[in-house]
Amino acid sequence: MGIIAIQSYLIISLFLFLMGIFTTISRKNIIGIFMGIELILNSSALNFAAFSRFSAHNLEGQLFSIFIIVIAAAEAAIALALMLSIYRRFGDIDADKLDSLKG
Amino acid sequence: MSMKTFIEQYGFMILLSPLLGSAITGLAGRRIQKKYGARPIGLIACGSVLVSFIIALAAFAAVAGAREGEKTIICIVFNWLSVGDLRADVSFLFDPLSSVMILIVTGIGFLIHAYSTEYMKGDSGYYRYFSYLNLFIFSMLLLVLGENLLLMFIGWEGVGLCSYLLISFWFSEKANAIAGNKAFIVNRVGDFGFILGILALYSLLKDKIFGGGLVVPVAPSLLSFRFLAENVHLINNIDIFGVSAATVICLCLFVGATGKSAQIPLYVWLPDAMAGPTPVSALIHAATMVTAGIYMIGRLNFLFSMSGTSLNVIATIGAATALFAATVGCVQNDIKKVLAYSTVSQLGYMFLGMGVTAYSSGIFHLVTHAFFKACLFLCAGSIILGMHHEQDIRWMGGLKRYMPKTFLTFMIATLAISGVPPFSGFFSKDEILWQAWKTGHQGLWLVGFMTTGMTSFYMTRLVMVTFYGENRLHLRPSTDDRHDHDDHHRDGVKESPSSVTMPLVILAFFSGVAGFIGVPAALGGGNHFEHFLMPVFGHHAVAHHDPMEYVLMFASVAASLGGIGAGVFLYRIRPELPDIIVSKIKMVHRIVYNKYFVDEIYAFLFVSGTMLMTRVFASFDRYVIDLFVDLTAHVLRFKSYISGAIDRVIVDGLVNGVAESFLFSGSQLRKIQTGRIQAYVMVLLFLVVLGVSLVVILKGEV
Repeated sequence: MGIIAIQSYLIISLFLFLMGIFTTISRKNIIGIFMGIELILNSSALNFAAFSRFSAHNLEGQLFSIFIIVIAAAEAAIALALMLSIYRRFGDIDADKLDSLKG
Repeated sequence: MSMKTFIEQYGFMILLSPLLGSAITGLAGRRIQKKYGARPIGLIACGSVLVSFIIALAAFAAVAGAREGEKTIICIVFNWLSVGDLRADVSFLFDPLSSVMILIVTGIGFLIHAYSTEYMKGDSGYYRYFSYLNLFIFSMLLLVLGENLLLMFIGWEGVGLCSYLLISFWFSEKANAIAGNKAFIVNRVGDFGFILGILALYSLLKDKIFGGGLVVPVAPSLLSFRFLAENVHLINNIDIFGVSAATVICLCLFVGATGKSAQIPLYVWLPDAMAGPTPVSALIHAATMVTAGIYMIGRLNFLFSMSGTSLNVIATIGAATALFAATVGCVQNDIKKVLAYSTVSQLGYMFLGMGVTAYSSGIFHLVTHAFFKACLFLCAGSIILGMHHEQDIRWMGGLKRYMPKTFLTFMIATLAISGVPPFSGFFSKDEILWQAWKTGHQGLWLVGFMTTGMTSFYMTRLVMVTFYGENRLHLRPSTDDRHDHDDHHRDGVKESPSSVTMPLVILAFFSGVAGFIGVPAALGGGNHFEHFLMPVFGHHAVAHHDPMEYVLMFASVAASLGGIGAGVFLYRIRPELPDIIVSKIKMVHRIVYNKYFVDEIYAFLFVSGTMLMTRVFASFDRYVIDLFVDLTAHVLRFKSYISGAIDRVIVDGLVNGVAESFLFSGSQLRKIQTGRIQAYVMVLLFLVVLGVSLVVILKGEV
């Protein structure tokens, strides 16, 4: 098989995940947060593909990755539409100012 | 149906009729008066009394027509009380005595009702007046006809109530209201004696009858007059505090009689009672109600005959009142006051007659007095109407010309009361005086004899000052702000209309001739009246002709003629003399004019004491009882404050505390809900890390 072991994939995936979390938490711009979420999604997709590659002998994991990518695309469309309407409504897309959910 | 069965079955109608009349005029009168005017009210009132009068005539005929020994008709309506030994029926007794009384009450009552329709014309309380008047007739008939002492007592109180209501009829003036109060309160004193007498009689009789363990299937009606007449001898030998029981009871009852019939010492209310409308004075305070005491003694003559002491007291009080009131009557200036004192004086005569056991003579004088005194009062009313409500004889005079009918009737009644033969007063008064002499009360005779002279003197004075001479209305000082139209007054003095003079004429007629029903044997008469009443009063010793009777008769006629002569001389021939005499005996005149200051003495002895007592009681009430009440209130308030505080602090505190704690925790928790996604994510991450770490640590793996 290859010289690249599964740990390498997982480390990259963890790295991607942490970057996504960090981006999500630290960014003030919603688009930035959204980008972070995309990174988390991609890290999980990478995990699917890696585990599928090393444990099973079928392509279920890769299939899920493709699903995730498709869903992420659809999600991006919805998220961008939401952001546009948020911007129209509040005139801003700074996450700190959008605290209507505050109890 | 014979007359007797009619009375037995329907005799109660005589009472029902005025009661109904009173109810109608009293309850619906205001509306009737507003809608149809005063006329229907007068008709209802007069009609109801007329019905009573007709039944009274029937009853009289039935009693008079009955055979000897059956002259008592009982009309039993229903059983009223039946409690253990106490039994009383509502039943009415028609016998010679009560039939004479109801004729007087309803007959004169009817005339006065008719008279009042004119006298009270235009008064806003017209319906009220007639309602009271009808109620009075009802009560008086109940008093007279009641077959037992309880019914009589109800009637006794009823007439007192009506008297009070009618004296203070024009209650918007304080003097009238006070006069009404005075009459009521003085009568209460008497009534207290009366009810004490009834209770004493009842309890003593009960002990005697049921004391021996005697069991009777139906308890006898102890206070029924028929029962009393047969059984009263049972209390003959009982002593109360060393005095015979009969004397105690009789004196108690007599106290009631002095109150109702205005005798010393309780006469003071009657002159003040003249504050009421004049027809009321005629009916209640001259002809009927004030004779209730005499009637009561007549009704219970069997009881009074058992106690010589009480008879002597009655005779003495009667004679003293007769003389006393006559002296006061001589100097009064208010026409109604003169007549009021005259009434007191004549009632004294009646008591004198009762006291010397000349019961039928007393009742005879009651009858004749009812006629002539009612006539005099109604004449006074007519004069007052004609004089535009002036009652002071000093401002009258010369009315003979203006009011001929009133003058004539007044004259006849004056002659009757003065005892000039052959007018009615002569026969009845002379009968009493002769009986007093015959039974050995020469001293009382002398008092009565003097009173005769005085009576004719003050009545003549009244006639002379009122009807003769010049009219002095214009001399009246116009301090009286109510009637300040002096000038046109004299022209306004005119004869009253026929509905006023008609009763006067009828009453004057009877004042003239009523005496002939009791012409004594000494004058060749049969003394029918005494014979008629014999079933009630029993037989008198057959009067053997006594030359003394003629002597006394002559003496009293001479006295009354002398009194008239003196009156004419002083007030007609030498009108300046009275003033000279008065100035000679200024002190005496002042005392008599002020009624011997009896009112002031009573005010000092009783009224001020009572007032002081009321003040003491009032302050006791205010400072002691109110203190306790207030204290209790304070304690309660404190207690309720405490319980309120517990409620507020502990109970409410718990409830509010729970609510507060929720509120507080909510407000604290809401701080976590920042609304910032990133914060949530941070928490999420933190918790995930924590959870994973926990799992790892617990499983011991890295």
